[in-house]
Amino acid sequence: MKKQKTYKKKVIVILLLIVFLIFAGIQFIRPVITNPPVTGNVKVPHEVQTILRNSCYDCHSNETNLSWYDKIVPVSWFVAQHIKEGRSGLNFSEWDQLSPADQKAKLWESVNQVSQGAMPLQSYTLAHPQAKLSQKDLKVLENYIWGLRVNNKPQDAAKIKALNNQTEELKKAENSVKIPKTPNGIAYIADYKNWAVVSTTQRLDNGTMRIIYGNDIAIKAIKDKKVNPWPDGSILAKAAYDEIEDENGNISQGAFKQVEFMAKDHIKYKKTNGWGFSRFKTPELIPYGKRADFVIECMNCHKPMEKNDYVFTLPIRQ
Amino acid sequence: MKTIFYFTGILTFFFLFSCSDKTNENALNIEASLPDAMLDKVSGLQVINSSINNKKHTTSLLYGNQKIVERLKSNELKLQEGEKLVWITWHQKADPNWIGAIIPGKLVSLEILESNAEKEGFNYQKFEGNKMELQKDTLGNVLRIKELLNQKKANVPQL
Repeated sequence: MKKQKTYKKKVIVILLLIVFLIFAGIQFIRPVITNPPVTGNVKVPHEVQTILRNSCYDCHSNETNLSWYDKIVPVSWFVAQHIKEGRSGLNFSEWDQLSPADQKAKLWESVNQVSQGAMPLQSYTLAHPQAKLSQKDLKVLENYIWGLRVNNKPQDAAKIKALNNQTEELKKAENSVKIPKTPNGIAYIADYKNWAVVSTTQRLDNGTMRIIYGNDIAIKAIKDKKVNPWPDGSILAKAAYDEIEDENGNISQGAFKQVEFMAKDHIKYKKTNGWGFSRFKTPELIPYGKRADFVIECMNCHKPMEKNDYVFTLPIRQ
Repeated sequence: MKTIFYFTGILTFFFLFSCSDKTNENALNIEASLPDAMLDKVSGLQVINSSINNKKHTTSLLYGNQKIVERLKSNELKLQEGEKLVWITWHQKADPNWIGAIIPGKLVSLEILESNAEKEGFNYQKFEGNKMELQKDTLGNVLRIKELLNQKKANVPQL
């Protein structure tokens, strides 16, 4: 009896020892988390900068500040992956590599992500509670980007000229036979112009106005109030225009800027949350994206809308 | 005991269905939607343009039937036989999903302008408010009709 007990004890000790050795051993398979040089930091007021540093910089800058527990394997493997993905989507230390328009769009998108509760990631704030933003912090960020909104100039000569030039060009343009395709293999759908309307939006962040159209399947889903999730085959098209405002505050559509599509197929587009994303710019319909993985950008932006099947637009039944 | 199970079952189903309805309702803009009785007013029509009034904080969508949409390509004004325009106007409201986005809120009006072959003129109707009641007061109609006929078609890609 006694012999058996000592034997059991021995086995447990050996097992623990093995687990410990494995744990100690894998500490040598450590991911390399480096801080590459800062090429150009984001330029924002000091109080905004402080919030970004406190809540975003660990994953979205080249100034990552790791806690001791972030460095323990296997946690550090996940941390390294987070940082890699975080930096590739948004990097406040390489801000100079974005055009001024993209800088503003990224900042606006980021603050929207925070206000929707999608960022910072919950898994991150659980381990780093000090990174959580207070309501006051959020207000500071919102007030700052609100100051960056576009105020229309009445009778903006440049926008009127752009519209007139575009109208003339469109009259001359020959109907192209080649249907453009985005790098992820999604072809432009010319018929969107004849679809019914889902909603409209005025966007103060970039001074555009948009019409959102839906194909028959999408419109039926709206009428039946079955849009969460959207049925397979639904396609939404969003066309963006300049705004032209007169002295009386009347805004009409200026030049056509781009059209974007979201096509629902929960099997075909499983990897991109069930939606096939595409964007075609200018009336020449130049496909957006250099490589097929441009959709990561689309998915990151639409992530806060997970509860609405990744759709920002709130459809109007009409 | 059986009855209890039976009722619990029914209640669970009721609860589940009310949940799924809620997720759908939250994903729709119910406030800006037309009442059920008006849902057929724009079906089959195409969009001509979208506009905003930054002082009144309203936004409108102009629809037309196939006939007028085709003709508008030639940029002529004046309503011709068989042509129909529908103009819906909403108050604007903040988009809960995007800071700085403004979307349609409560309904202001729905106007219909239709050619009338018999009278060699046109019919104009205006429905107002969220209940979309037919407006009998004709004051201001001439101005609205003039405004309607002054609208231009937005640019769309050739392809």
